[in-house]
Order: sequence, then C-alpha cells, then structure tokens
Amino acid sequence: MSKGRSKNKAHRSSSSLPKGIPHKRGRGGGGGAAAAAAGGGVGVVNPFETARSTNSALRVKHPVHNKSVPGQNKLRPTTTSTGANGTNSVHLQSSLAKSIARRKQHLSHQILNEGKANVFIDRRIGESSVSSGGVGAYHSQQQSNSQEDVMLKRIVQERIRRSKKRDKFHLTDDDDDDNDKFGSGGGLLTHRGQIIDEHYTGAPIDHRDVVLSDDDDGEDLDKVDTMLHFGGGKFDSMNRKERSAYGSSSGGGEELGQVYRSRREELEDRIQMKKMLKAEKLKRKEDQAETFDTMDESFAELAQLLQFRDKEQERIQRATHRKNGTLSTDDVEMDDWDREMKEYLFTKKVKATDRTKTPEEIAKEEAERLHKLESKRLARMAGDFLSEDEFSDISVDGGGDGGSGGGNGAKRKRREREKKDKNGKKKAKKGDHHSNPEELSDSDDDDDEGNVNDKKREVRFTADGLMYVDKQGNVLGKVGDEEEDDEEDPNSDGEEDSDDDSNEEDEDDSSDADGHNLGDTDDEASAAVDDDDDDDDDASSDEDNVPAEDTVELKEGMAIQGNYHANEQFENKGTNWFNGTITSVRKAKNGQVLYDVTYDDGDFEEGMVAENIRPLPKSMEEKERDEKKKTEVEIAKQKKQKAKLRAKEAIPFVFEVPTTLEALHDLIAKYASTGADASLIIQRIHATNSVRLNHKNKEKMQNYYDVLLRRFVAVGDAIFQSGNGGPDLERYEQLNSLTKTLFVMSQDSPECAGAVWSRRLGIFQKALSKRLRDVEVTPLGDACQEEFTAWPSTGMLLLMRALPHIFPSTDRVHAVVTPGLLLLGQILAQTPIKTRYDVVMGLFCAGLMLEYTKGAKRVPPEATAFLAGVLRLFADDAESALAYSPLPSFSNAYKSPQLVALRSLLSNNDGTACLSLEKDEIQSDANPLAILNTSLHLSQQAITNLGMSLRELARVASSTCASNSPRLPLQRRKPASVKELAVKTLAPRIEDPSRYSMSKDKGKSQSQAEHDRNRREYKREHKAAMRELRLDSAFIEDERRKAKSKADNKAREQRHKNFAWLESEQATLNQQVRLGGGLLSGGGIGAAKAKAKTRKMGIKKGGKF
Amino acid sequence: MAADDESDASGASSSNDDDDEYDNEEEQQPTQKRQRTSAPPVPPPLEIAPSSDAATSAIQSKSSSLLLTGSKQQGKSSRIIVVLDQAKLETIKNRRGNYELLNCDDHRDICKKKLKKDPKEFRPDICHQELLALLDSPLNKSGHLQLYISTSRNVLIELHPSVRIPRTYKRFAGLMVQLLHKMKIKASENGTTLMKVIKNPLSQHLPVGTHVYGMSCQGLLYSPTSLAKSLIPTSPEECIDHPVCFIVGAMAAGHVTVDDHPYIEKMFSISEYPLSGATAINRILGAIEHQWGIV
Repeated sequence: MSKGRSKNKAHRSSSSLPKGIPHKRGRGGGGGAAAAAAGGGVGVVNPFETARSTNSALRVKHPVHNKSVPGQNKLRPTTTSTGANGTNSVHLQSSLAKSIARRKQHLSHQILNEGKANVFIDRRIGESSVSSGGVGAYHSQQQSNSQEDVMLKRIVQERIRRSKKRDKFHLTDDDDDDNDKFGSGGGLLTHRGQIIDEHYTGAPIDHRDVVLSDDDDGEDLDKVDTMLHFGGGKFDSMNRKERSAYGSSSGGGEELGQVYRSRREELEDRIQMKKMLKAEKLKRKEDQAETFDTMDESFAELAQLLQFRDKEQERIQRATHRKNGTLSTDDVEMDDWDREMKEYLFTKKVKATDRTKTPEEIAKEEAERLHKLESKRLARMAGDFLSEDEFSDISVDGGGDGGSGGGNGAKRKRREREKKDKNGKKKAKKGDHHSNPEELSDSDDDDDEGNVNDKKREVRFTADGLMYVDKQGNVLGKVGDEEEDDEEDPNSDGEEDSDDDSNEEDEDDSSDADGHNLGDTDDEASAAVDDDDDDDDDASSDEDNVPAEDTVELKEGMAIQGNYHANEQFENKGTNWFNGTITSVRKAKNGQVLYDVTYDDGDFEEGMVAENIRPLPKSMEEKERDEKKKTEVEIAKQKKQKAKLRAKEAIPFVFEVPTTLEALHDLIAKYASTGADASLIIQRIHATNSVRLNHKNKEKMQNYYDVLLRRFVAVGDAIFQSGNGGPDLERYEQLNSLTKTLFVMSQDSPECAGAVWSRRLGIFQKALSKRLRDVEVTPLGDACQEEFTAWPSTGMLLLMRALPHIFPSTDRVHAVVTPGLLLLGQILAQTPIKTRYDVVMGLFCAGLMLEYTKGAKRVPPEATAFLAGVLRLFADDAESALAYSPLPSFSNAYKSPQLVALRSLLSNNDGTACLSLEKDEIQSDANPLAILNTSLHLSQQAITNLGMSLRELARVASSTCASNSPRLPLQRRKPASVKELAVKTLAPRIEDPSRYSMSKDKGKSQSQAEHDRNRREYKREHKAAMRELRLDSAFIEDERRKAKSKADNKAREQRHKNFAWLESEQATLNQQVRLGGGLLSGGGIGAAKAKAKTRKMGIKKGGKF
Repeated sequence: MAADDESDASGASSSNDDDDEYDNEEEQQPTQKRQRTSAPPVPPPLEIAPSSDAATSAIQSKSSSLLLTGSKQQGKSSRIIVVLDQAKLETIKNRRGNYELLNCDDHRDICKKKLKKDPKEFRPDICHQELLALLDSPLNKSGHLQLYISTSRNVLIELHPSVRIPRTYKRFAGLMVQLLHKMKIKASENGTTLMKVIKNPLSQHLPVGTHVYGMSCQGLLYSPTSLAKSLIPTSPEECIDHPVCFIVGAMAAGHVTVDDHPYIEKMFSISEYPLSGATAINRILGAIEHQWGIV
C-alpha cells in the first residue's frame, strides 16, 4: 500500500517542481527531496540540488579562515534513509529545494484551506498530525506511527498534565485512587510512609511486614524495633545500604550523627575563628596605642631639638670667642653662613617682569588701538558725543591749539610737528597757507582775512605731490611750482588768489547767511552737509546778541515795553519806554497789526503799532546769567561742531588695503594733505591689516607690498623731477617712512616680500634689457629733457638703495639681494653713457654696489671700473683714456658733447659740491665738480673697502687668479657604476596593513559607502522578493493545475468506466449475434439480420453489424 | 627558529624530467639563439681612463642589459631561480573584521579552537625572512635572481626582482593579505607589477631545460662552494643555457619532497646541521655570488 502511495506522491511532487530544477525521472519514482526521503525503494538524490555545495557559488576565490561565507552556514545536512540498504547519506539541500519544501508545507496548506470559513482543529492526541499534515512528509511519517506510538503520546500527555504544580493541590482527584500512594499530598497523616488513621495505635500495623522485610535474618527484633520506633541512626543507614535499589552506592549518604557532628564542628570552628579575629583586633588596637605613645615621647625629644632660641650664655660665649678669634671651625662656618644670609637679605630684589610681547601681540594691540580710535571718530562724525571730555582738546578760540587730541597721540604729535614746521617756514608760507583739516581751530582765529584767502583753493595730495585743486576738482598747479612762482611773483599770485576767494566768499555768503565763520572753508563739501545744523545754530546765536523785534511774535498777555504815545512825541524820537502787557491784538483795516497795551502804572494805550512795542528787556543779572548760559551752550555747541568737523576731516584710522597704486593714490589724495599724512596712511593701512593679525591677510599684504614698491618708485621719480618738494611733501622723509614700512612688512612675512621683490627685480631687469635693445634704434638723449636714456629711473635706483636696508646684503647668496647686485652690475657695465644724467646715475649705481659689497668685503669690479671710467672722462684726452675702460658703457662716451665739456666746466666752479639726483642739480653747472668729487670719494671708499693697499691687492689678485697649468678639457661622463646599474628597489603600494578590508566600500566616503550599501541591500532584497513571488506564483499555478488535472482525471475515469461498460455490453451483444443469435430474440437489423439468418460467424470485411 | 629545518639535500634522486620538456627545449632553442644574437650589443661605457673596478664593470656591461627589463624575459636572462615552497601564507578574518595573515603568535587560540590545527605550523615569518635574505642579496641586486613563492594552499606567486619587501613583519603581513586578495601588487611610484599570483603549475613558468634542485637536510651533502661549482655555470652568461632552479622550503617543519615537485633532479643539503631557511639561502647565494664574482 505504502509503495503505491509513495509512487503517486513522487509523481506529484516531481511535477510540482518549477522548471528551474531539473530532476531525474526513472527507476520507479525518484524525485523531490522530500518525496525521496519518504520513498520506499531507492532514494535518489537530485545531483543538482546537492551540487551547490561544491559549485562556484560556495567555493570562495580567496579562502579566508574564520570568515563566514554567505550561504555556507545555512546549508544544513539532511539525513535521508535510503531504505533498502539502510545507510544514511548526508547531503546538502539547495536553497531552491528548501524553498519548495517550505511551500509544500505552508503554501499548499493555505491553498487547501482557501475559501473555508471554519477551521477544524483536531485535538486528538497523536492523531492531530494525521489530519494537519495531509501533505508530504508528515503524512508518510504518520504511516510509520503505529498504534503504540499513539498510545505513548497519550501517556506522555497525561503525565505532563499531571506533573503540573497545581495538580499537587488537586484534592478532588486524590480521594478515590491515590489514598494508598506513598507521599501523595492531601490531609493524611503518615508515619514513615504509613497512613496514620484513627485505628493507629503506635504499634506496627502488620508485624509481618517488618519480619518479612528481613526474613532472611530473622534474628534481631531489637533492631527492627529501633528502626520502627526511632528510625535513623546506624541501623537505618545500614538498612538503606542493603535495601537500596541502586546497591550500596554513595547515594546512601552519611550517618545522621556524622552530619550532626560535622555540623557542630563547623560551627565551633566558626566561633573559634570569630574569637580569634576579635582577639587579634584587640591586640592590634593595643599595639597602635603603644606606637602612638612611643611617638609622643619621641616627639618631645624632637621638640627639644626644634627649640631655636639661643641660650643666653652660649650667645655671650660665642661673642667672646669671636672677639678672641677662638671660634671652633663649626662656629666659623656658621658665622659665614649667617653673614651670607644677611647679605642676601640686603641684595636688591628684582621683580619678575612680564615676558616680551611677541610681534603678533604688538601688531594686534596697535590694530586694536586704531580700530578703537576709528570707532570713536565715526561716532563723533555721527554727532554722537559720549562725554564732555571728548572734546576737551577743542577750543572755541585758537588758544587751545596745543590741546591734547582726546587720547589721540599720533594726531597730537602730527599737529605739533606741523606747527613747528609752520613756524620754521613762516616766511615761505605767508602767502601760501595750506589748510589742513587738523588746523581747524588754528585757521579759525586768524584775524587777517586776507591771509585766509588762499585756502579757498584746496590742496590735495596726489601721486605727484601736493596739488592745488579747485572746487571742481581741476588741478590748478603744483605746490612746489607755485612756491617758486610765489617767490618770483608774489603779487600777481596774491591777486589771483584774492579774486578767487572773493568769488567763493560770495558763494559762501549765499549759502550760509552769516558767513559761516565757524569752520574752515577749505572743505566745502563737508560743510555743506552740515549746513542745516549750522544755520540753526548760527541763527540762535545771532538772536541772542541783537534782539530782533520782527522776529519776536507779540501776543496777548505778553510782558512788553511800550513807547508811550510815541505818535505824539517829536519825530518818534522819544524814548518813553514803559513796562506793560498786551491786552489785545487786532488788525487794522490797512492790514497793520495793532496792539492794546496796559501799562504797569495803570495807563492804557490802544492801537499801538508794532514799532512801539518791544519785548521786555531783562534785568542785568538775568541778562548776565542768560548770557553766560547762552555762551556756555554756544561754546559747547561750537565745540561739538568743531569736533564733528574735525572728525569728519581727520584721517581715518582704519583703511581697506588698496589693491592698486591708483587706489592708494586716491586714498592719499582724499585724506592726506602732506607727505607725512601719506606716510601715516600707509603705516595705518599696514597696521590694521598686518599679516601678524591674520594669516588670511597674506595675499592682500603681498599685493600691498608691491603697491608700496611702486609708490616708492613713483616718489623717487618725483624727487628727480621736482626735488624734495618742500616741507609739506618731504619726499625724502616719505621714502624713509616707506622704507620702514617695507622693512616691517618684510619682517612680517619674508617669503612674500622676497617674492614681490624678486618679481619687481625681474621687471626691472626686463625693462633694462628692453632699453638696451632700444639703444640700437633710438638715439640717446638727456633724461633731464625728457629724452630717451637707457639708464633706469631715479625711483628704481632709490628702491635699489632701500633694498640692502630691507634685506641683509652680507649673505653669501640671497634670494633678493644677489639678483639685485647682479642687476646693478649689469646696469653699470652695459648701459651706454651719453649725458651727465647718465654719469650721475652710474655713479649712484657704483656707490650702491660699493655699499652692497662693503659688509661682505666683496669686490665689485663693475663699480670700480665705472669709477675709473668716470675719472677718465676728466682726462685731457678723454677719448684715448676711455679706450682703456673695460666697460662697454663708456665705449661711445667720448662722442657726447656733454661729457667732453665736463673738464672745461669743472674750472667754472669752485668750492665743494654734492652730487644730487634732482633734475635741477644735474643740470646745474656745479654738477661736473660734484661728479668728480663723488667719484673720487667713491674710489677712495672702494679702496678702503678692500682693506689692503693696491699693490698688495694686485699681488693677491695675480697669485689667486694665476693659472699656471693649462685648463683640463671637460671630462666625459663616467660610466654608470655598479650601484647605478643595480636593480632599483620599488616600494609596493601597501594599503593600511592594520586594517585591511576586502569590503566593496573601501576607500569611499562614509556617506557614499552608506548609500552604496543601502543600494546593494535594496537590490538584494528586491531580487529576493521577486524570486519568492515568482516561486509562489509558480507553485500556486502548479497546485491549481494539479487540482484541475485531478478533477479532470476523475471525470475521465468515470467516462472511461462508462464507456467500458457500454463497450462490454456491446461486446456481449455482438458475441451473441455472432453465435447466431440463438440466445437472442432480436438480432439486429438489416444485413445483420440477414447474416444471422445465414448462420455464418464473423464480421464481413468492412461490413457493419 | 629552532623548528625551522628546511634546507639541504636529498639522497640519490634520479632525474625524472619529463620528455615533454625536452621536446619543448628542442623547439625553443633556435628562437632563443636568434633572439640573443639579434639583441644589439651593449656599447661599452665611455671612458677616458680605465676605471678601478674593471671586473665588476665587465660583469655589469654584459649582464645589466638583460636584467632591468623586468621579469617577463626570464627565459632569456641569466637567472638563478629560487622557489620558496610551502610558504604558510593564509588569510584570516579577525574579530574586528580585519583581514590578517594567519600566524602562530596572534592567532594561537583561533588556530587551536576554530581551525583545530597546530599553531606551530603557521609561520609566515619564515617566508618573510627568506624573502628578505633573497631580495637583499647582491645576486638579486645585480639582477640574477628570479623568485617564486608557492604557498601551502598551492598559490603560486611571482616576484619582481626590484620589489622592496617591507622590513617589518606587520607590514609584510599586510602586504601579503593584500596580495592574496588582490592577486597583484603594484609599485607605489610607477605601475610596475611587483608581485603577482600566477597560474599553477610551477613547471610551466620555468625555462625549458631548467635543472631543478631541492634543498633539504636529508639531501646529498655539499659545501656551498662545491655546490655552486658543480651545479652552477661559471659565469652568468652560461647560465642562460643552463638555467638552475633551487626549491627551498619556507615551512616550519617538513621537507621539500619530490612528490610535490616531480621535476626535482636531486636533493641537496649544504650543511651537516639543520639550517634555518634564511641562512641556507644566504649560504647558497653567497657561494654563487663568489663564483660569479659579484661583490
């Protein structure tokens, strides 16, 4: 039976497998794993299901110990009995097979129950599996479950039910059947397991029991008695030993007495231990007390030692000893010690000082100071005065000029300096008074209005120096030029100025009613902004000074003075002013306002015109007080006003860093009026944006450094053009200040400065080489006449002059100075000389080279050669003399008329002359003398620089530069050495060895790794879900078909059955007919009937019945 | 290193080279010759004065041109081939999820409990030492050495002569883990492949007609110099025709066996005492260097 069933099952299960799993057909019914397990005859293992354990999916590429390969641990060995031979073969099920088996268990069950409202729960013990596990393995297992198994299960169930704790207290059941059970609960009393009931007498219930228990001995009834009555003891143990079901095992345990004894011993031990501990504790305590006592005693001894006070006697003794010089050596030492200590007492104590501030801190402080001042200034500009002392430096009259600038040290200093300058140059400046915003109060009190006239032209500071700028911003002229002009023709200039001034004054008057004499008029723009305020203030002050009737409105009830009956007086000249009050105000027909006045003395006057009424003049005291108050207020107001103006016109303390030279010049033009101002601005720009403050400023400051270099060149060129530029410009002073700033900035960030310098030098060099090329095509001229010359500009040379002050010139090789020196050498050696300008520049260069090389004791051959060349220019026969000059610069010098004339010009002058770089000086007649003078001086310096006499120098030079042996030819390259030919070692590219990971997310950023991980996981899950769904649907479809085919089969079977019956019926009938129809009464129709009549058997070919 | 006794010398082991190999040799011989002749002669170094070390320069001039061309031309170059056999290079995943080279120090417990193996046998440091000895030798620097490692898991690794093996074990271990996973290690400067996992068997990477000798302490005892004299051609040039391969063990205990490498002609030992692998290598290489005049 089972075989047939299993066959059927195998068939079904194999057909239920999806197409993915090929399976073996044949040999009676192999198939799916589950079916195979149940299969009776031969268990056939699907090789494709087991193949997975060895296929590539599980075989790893990189075998790694201790690494869990996905899928490996999921495989569980399934034991299948192969039936006939009974051997167990373990094979691994593929996950696909497993999933199919799972579906068979669960999904098919669900399909079966689909559409069924009720659930049948079989609670029969041992039978439930039959009903629930209708499919597959369960069913087949059930077959093996015999009746015994079912019974066993039932018993187990029962046991479980009874063994539950609560059943112990289940009284009702115990009554009837558990009475005699040993140890059962309930309310029974027992003795030694025997129930004590009402018949209990104490004697054993049945003597025989006892006797029977050890009937073999049959001797010691005493023992039995003892056992029965008292139990326990030795006897019991012996008894137990004998009777124990498990033999004389250790389970019998010790005797009770022993247990008791051991227990007692244990307790005694414990008590003993406790006692011992206590004693020990006590002892320790005593010990401690003793130690303390001894310590106290010893302390007393120690304390004696600690007494410092000398014994009087000892002291006296020692004094006498000392006097006598009989001190012991110890005492002498002690005396020395004491003396030294005393000396130390009197030594000067030096307090620890704060550490030196770092450059960063200094820069920060300076910047903070400037920022604070700037914020204050801005506050003043906005009219936001915090306290009175803020403008303590500002005075209404000019006397307070020297007042301190509200904590503005720099400002004050500057002003003082300016003042000094002014005093020094009073005569020069008389007709040419440059206004300075700072000089607000100074100019204010200048009595001579004519002098102020000049200020109408603004003086602005531009790249070219101080310029006069009119209100429209047109440049009128240079200050320096004008100075000269002034000297030449002061009158005409003064007239012009005054004309200008008068015009402007008119304008002023028109805009400002009272002439606006408060502020300086040089900055109209700023004044215009404040016009409203000014007007108010001025108006009020005016009213105070001269009471204006028309402005005071007369009202009813106002205390006034009335001119009593003025009309009646002669020509209104009477001054009968009396005090009174206005009682009414009315208008006359002609529009005149008339007043009715009641005088204090009781008089009354009607129809008074306004002329005859004036407000009550105040009493003298009142007036004075008022005046005072007014003036105070006014002064305060004026002060405020001035402070505001001054703040507005003062140089800001904080600047943005200008990125171009033009921007810097704009800044200077806007805020500065003198060279010192310009320097201050430059310094402030640096101070507030220093690299030391913030590393991010580096780029800005590097740019600014370049701007400064260019400014330096510009100022230097201006010096050439127009000299120092007077006390206001002080170009040399500017250059000094610039150099200082450059130096500080170079200290701030040397590498930036070095880079900028290098670039600048490169530019210079390129420019030079371009000029040298241009010499070929452009005729050389005099630079003083704005003609072409190959020599670099004055500004550039001045910059080169600054270079050794900014960077060390004594370095063996310096990134900036060495190229600079080379550039100078090139300039000297190669630039052709045509004019005196060229000679002056060359001398300057030579001097520079000497200065560069002085510190390091080098020899500048170009410089010395140039000096020699210059001296040769003064020779009688310059041409032949210059032929000796090694420098190409002098090759064509003798052709120049300017240079030829040098010697002759020399005699025109006498006295000493200094070489100057300024244009005028170069053009002057004294110049040749200066050239000679300087070149001689420089030659002397060059010789002293060498530090030895010329002869010695020549000797040294000849010895060191001598080349006795012929120079070796250039050697060819050596053959590659063994070392070079050796195999080059190449370091492998190692990833971090401490945590090498094989993960796919290695080297990705965290977010990227997470994203990828999620994507992978999603993909995996998605695939898994799709697979499951696909398998599900395949399975369901399969089940459906199976069910359908089952139903179809049934119907077909039925039909076949019916057909079979019909056929058999027909066959019987046909047989009857064939036999001749003897048994038939009927016997067919037509031919059959006829045939039947013939009685011939068989069916005619092709014929019918 | 007490347990290391991989070196030296087998007794009489008849040379059982395959016939196939000889066939190959016959086929390839002509091509080899042609290539050698066609290779342009190296111009002698330009010199005005003769250099002090004529001998070395001579060696270099002859050999260097063939050396630096990389490991691909092994068939034509004059190289001693050394195979480190049964190197214990295995990866393990530790508790933190990092991959490490299985060694007896760090993974003692894992070896015992999880892998159920004797931790003593996991000695990748032997391989490390031998590699250092080999790659640091003048013979290698002069380009006369070709290295292979064959691990106990039968992974065959080819090493470029210019690889710089990390000096410390830890870094070496990391490198090996990387190699076993990536199958290839490249140089950090340029893309030269320094180490590469190649296909088994070893015999297909050996030049045709290579004489393969195994080193084992049970082999025939030779002194290193006599070994070099008898087995190695007198100059590197002749080595081109008679390539020689030594198989040296890199395992903690055991021997190189003919079973593993049937192409071994003979087993040799170079000392009466069991030597550590690195020492044995140093001695053999020293003898060869001496014979070839490589200083």
